[in-house]
Amino acid sequence: MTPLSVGLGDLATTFVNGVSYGMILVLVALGLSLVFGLMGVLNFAHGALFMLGGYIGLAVMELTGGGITGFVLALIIAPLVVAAIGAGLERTVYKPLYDTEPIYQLLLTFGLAVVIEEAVKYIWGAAPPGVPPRPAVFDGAVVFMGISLPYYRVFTILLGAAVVAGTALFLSRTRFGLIVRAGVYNTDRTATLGLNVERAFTAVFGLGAFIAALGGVVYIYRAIEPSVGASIILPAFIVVIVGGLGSFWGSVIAGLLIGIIWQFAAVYAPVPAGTVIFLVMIAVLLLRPQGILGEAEVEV
Amino acid sequence: MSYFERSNELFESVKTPYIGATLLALVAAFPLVANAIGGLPFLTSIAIEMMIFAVFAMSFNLLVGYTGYVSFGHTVFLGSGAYMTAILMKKFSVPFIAAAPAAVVGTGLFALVVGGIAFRRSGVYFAMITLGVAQVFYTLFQSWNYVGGDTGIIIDPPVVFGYEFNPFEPMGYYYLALATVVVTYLFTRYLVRSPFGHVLQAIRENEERARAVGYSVRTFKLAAFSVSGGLAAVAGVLYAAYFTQVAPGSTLYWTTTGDGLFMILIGGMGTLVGPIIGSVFVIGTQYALSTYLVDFIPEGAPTLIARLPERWPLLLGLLFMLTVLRFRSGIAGGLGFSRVRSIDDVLARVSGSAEPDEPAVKSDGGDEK
Repeated sequence: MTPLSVGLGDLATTFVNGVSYGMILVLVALGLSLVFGLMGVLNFAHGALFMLGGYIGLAVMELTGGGITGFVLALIIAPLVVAAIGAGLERTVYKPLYDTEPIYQLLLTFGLAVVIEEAVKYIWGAAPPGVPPRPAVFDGAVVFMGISLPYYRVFTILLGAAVVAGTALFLSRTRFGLIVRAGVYNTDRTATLGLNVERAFTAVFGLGAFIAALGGVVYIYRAIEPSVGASIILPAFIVVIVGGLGSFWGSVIAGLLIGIIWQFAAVYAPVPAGTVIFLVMIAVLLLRPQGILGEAEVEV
Repeated sequence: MSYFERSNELFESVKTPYIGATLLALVAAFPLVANAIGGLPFLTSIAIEMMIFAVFAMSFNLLVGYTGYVSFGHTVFLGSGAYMTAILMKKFSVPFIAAAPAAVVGTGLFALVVGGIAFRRSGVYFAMITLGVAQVFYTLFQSWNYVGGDTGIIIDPPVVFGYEFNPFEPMGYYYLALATVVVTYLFTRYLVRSPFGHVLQAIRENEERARAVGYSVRTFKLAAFSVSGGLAAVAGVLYAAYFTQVAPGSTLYWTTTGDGLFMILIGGMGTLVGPIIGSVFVIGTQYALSTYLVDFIPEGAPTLIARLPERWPLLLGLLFMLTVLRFRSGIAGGLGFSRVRSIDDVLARVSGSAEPDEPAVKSDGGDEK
């Protein structure tokens, strides 16, 4: 074949890898963005919930003997457990700080991130638990227009798309979603109307934790370890800032975009991919601080 | 009022210069005592680490505690100071005595540039820009062979006027670090009590109002950021000189910024002594748990108990959260240092009279006469 078509194949592979990584970023960023939109808290501990989801998923797989059954059970149970933990944390730890200066919220969530990571190391040990053997279902690849798409990447992308669609429907079609959207628009006014915004806070926090934990379980086959929370939260921050803090679709678009930029930078850029995406974030903050789709006025 | 009265008594006692002088004398005599009980190099090296990070925490506190801006990238200035020192010494054979001030001034200018970018936004956005800048340098230095990548740069211990510093005989380092802590403390005290420092606190309390009064808040914030960065570089210079290895993981990664936040919050944000107390407490806890608790754990203890000593950050993290939720004034606050200056104190100064009859709240710490 000609070198050109090989190059195109490489580009396509990098693109698919980028979309797949981007989907994982979207799963972390959705909750981050929802929580910021509703409560105005930038949650440093959100990456730790992602990581916790991975660890609980691993524990579930160990108990159920692994394989595809174990993995599916992990996909269901771990997010539910983490959602309960998230909702509990919202009630006990975050709530007292809603009326204080933002710097204390930022500091508190930072402390919580450290505590969750350390608690995981305490319970499961500091060493990475290792990647369990991938179920045979995920071996193999779809060949599409001469490009091979590994099943697992396809699965990640489809799962991410399903979660995005589900959350979007929840927010736009249910009464509860309406309250959440109203709360994002104006918390005080929504509360004045007699709607239970506090319950919405707890539920949204739980929902965000649920989605993040789902991402954590998917991440098991990429290698989960205690520091994953701290390392995934930084690109997730970049995603919500580039997409526009509090904007649902902004996070989705920016997540995929950052994922793709990351993969292309990793393959082609002369500097590390981490450098590139942070430069993108700084540029967005300076040139368009409201992000791609953000409408909120940014205090300058 | 009983709380204030009680803390006042405490404060009055701390306020007398004798306490400060006695403490200083004790700290100065510490290596001799440590020598006598046979733990010299180890205990002294812990104390040196505490003092290096006390300088870092004081520099960070100048920004967070006095202007109210939380940076998540402050470690980039520690790293900048350390890397500039190491690069000048290693690659350009500049003697330490010249490399140190160059690194501090260079970092101050670097901070001016970073501040110029970051102060275009505030709050969470400010925090993210500073974090972004630090991460850009972390990721770059990690993969840049010129500065040694992950391993970083290894330098020889500095030689100053014929005196060779020796990490295994750390007396020289100890007194160098102690002198630096004292000078940094006096400098920050001078700064926060000067008109300049009062403008910073006005920005912290209400930036809009400070601007409305007519201060160029941007200039003041930039100046504070630059000085804060330069002071962090002082800690970085000490770091490079003492550890003789400067690597991205320990000087540029954001967890070091996090350690600094732990220190100033637990110690007492916005007080002068808070960062010093915090540094001693955080590093002290770390060593107490990781080094000494191990001896108390029997051989075949269950895994969860055996893991306790290495999980010291869990304890510090919980303490940190508790501080944010319940005791915002930290340990220094508990000892009677307040971050807000009392009106009585200010009035007493303005009217030129001596002590007011009954001061209600004490000043922002230190052994003021």
